[in-house]
Amino acid sequence: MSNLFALLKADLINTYKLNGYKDPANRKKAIGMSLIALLVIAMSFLYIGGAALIISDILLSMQLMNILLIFAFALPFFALLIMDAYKMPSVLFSFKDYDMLMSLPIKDNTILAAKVLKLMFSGYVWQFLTSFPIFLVYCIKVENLSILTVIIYVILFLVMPLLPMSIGSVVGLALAKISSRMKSKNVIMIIGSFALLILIMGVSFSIQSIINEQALTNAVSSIADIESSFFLFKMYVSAVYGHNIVSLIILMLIFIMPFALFIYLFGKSFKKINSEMMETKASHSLKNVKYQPYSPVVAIFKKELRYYTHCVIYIVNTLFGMVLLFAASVAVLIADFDIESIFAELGQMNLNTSDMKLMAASLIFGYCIMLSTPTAASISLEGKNLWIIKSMPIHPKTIFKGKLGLGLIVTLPIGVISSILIYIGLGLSFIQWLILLGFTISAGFLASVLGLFINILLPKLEFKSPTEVVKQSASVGVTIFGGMFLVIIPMIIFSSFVVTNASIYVLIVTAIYILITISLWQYLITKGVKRFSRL
Amino acid sequence: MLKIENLTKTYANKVKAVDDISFEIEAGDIFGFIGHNGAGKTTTLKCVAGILEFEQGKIFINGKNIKEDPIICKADIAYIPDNPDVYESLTGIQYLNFVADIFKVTKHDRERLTEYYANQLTFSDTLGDIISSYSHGMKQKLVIISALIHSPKLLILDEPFTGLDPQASFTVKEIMKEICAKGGAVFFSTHVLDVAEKICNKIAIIKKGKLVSLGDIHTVMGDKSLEGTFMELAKNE
Repeated sequence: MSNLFALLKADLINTYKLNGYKDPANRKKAIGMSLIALLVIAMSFLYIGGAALIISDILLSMQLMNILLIFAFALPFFALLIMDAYKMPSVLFSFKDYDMLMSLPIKDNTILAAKVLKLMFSGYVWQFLTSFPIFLVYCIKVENLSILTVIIYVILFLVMPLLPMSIGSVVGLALAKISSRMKSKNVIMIIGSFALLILIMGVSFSIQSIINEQALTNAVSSIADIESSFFLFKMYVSAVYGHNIVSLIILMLIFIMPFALFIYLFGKSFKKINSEMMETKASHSLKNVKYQPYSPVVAIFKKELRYYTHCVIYIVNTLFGMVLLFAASVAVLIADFDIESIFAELGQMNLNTSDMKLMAASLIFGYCIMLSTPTAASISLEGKNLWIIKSMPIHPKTIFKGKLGLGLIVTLPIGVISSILIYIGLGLSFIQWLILLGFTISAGFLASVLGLFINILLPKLEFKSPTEVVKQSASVGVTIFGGMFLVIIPMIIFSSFVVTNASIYVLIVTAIYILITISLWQYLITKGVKRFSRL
Repeated sequence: MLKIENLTKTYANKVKAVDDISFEIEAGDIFGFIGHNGAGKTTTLKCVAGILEFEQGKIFINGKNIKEDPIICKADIAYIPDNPDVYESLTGIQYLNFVADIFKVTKHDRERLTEYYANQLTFSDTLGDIISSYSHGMKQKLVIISALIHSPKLLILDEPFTGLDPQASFTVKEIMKEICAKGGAVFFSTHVLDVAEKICNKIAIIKKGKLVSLGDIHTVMGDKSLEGTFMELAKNE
């Protein structure tokens, strides 16, 4: 137990940089991070709690407050399912400190337990942020709240993360196992990750649509339908709302048993599985030895592209927006729904259906492109390799161009193909397609330059795994936030003012994007170069 | 070849890693840079290689100021770090081609030099393998080949013998002599004092960022061994 505690303590201090307060050099950074954490908590309570408060009034009037409990359960459950499917492979398999930990006189199970408990801790944080505000609203709004409700909620709060962890582990293990036998292992991991994400999103949306439609349109029968549509919801409501001890026990067994089984089975072959996964097939291949010269910009671009295609987490996080865009474009092309009537309903008094189509397409294209910014992590990802490009006889502008190329190759080909699909699927005019194409290209350039600009301002060169940079770095967060801002603001202006010609409006936004792109690029090749030299 | 004038590098915590050091390395020199861990060796080497910015002093490579003409200066040098951190997702040959592309090495030269140095370092068989599968020593060999592929005039090496097998260590020493014989120069840091004593013609000892001894190796050593000289200097505060 003392080993477990020691491992957990060291890992938590290291992961969450808890020594930051003790180190005078990092104290400011630590205080800043704490303030950001507090802000996230406040925002989450404000946003999720606020939304729950609004919904609770409607639900109260319909006497369906138990639906709020479903939200309190479903939100963290699906969030953790996605998160754990990503995280579990890196937590349990081939983790960075594997060699170091396995060389210590500690039982394999203790190491496994420490890794799992650490992930559970983050599960509790997520639950606290997403579920607790909703439950708080429930407690405030429900009259004569039973203490039993709170106790059962807390019990289930403590065991709930176990099920997403088990599912995530099995999915992660299966993907890793399959991919280790394949030559193109990353392709399998990427396709698997995207498939899982799209599946989970599909399930989430379908559940959301059940709740929305039935709760709002059929107050009487909705609760039974929702409960019967998902067994876990039924059990959860029955336990927390109905204080049904049998439901509580069943639910606890559902949460705990698969986890216990997984830990038991995995614990037995923990070392064997990890050893197998860390094996590299060292078959010397001299046919790969070719000498083909390229220009420095192309050389940098090729280097960036090779890293990109070898880093699953990088691809999944920065290509997902474009995959969604492509999937949506294909859906518009082949789906059997009445697009004309949807847009006719959406049509404003001052805009015709055709204009609405262009505006909607531009919004979705902009949104997906701004989600796809590999450049926001590309300087950070140089990490300990930064010495290579810094010691080379090339101007930082050349490096920036190569990195920009990666951003463009991620967004533009899919963006252009999707615009053609949308042109056919939505029945846009040729001129409208050209405008959408221009918007797509300008947004692609803006997203790439914006990512690079933010990354040079907020680099994170010290990291243990690329995940820290790709998913958790300030640069990526600020870039996505900034990109969203640049898409949403024109849309707010559009919906707030009388705009009579969508084509001209999109052209104006395109022109503004081009201007911002040029300004940011100018910064990069002047002050950005100096900042890069100081890294 | 290399001239350092009053170089001072202070880190964010106000600690002077390098404090007002000056020296010169001429063509044909093998210049050994020795000192304790944290004495300022790597910082100096990184400043010379154009990796670290510095606030005071000047560094000239073949008469060009590294701050004013970094590209021209870097084209003449090759830097080999103490830890061979390279792009793990590339194959060895992809990395060498990448470096050759940046230094604009012709197809003929990159092929000739890669084969020459890869054979010398017994590395030819693994050129097509992914770098992540390399051992520390193999990565070190790769970085050495990448440094030599563009025929640098000044070779800057930080602890070059760490992780190398005896045969590779011998080859690297021979390559260092070869570069100097062709009119180049070598500037390297090391903790292996026996090696420094055998191959260097000039030596500098750095302590807490300041040079405590500098000059021709025989003058620095006097009648002692390099180890004896170093230990004596280390004792004197």
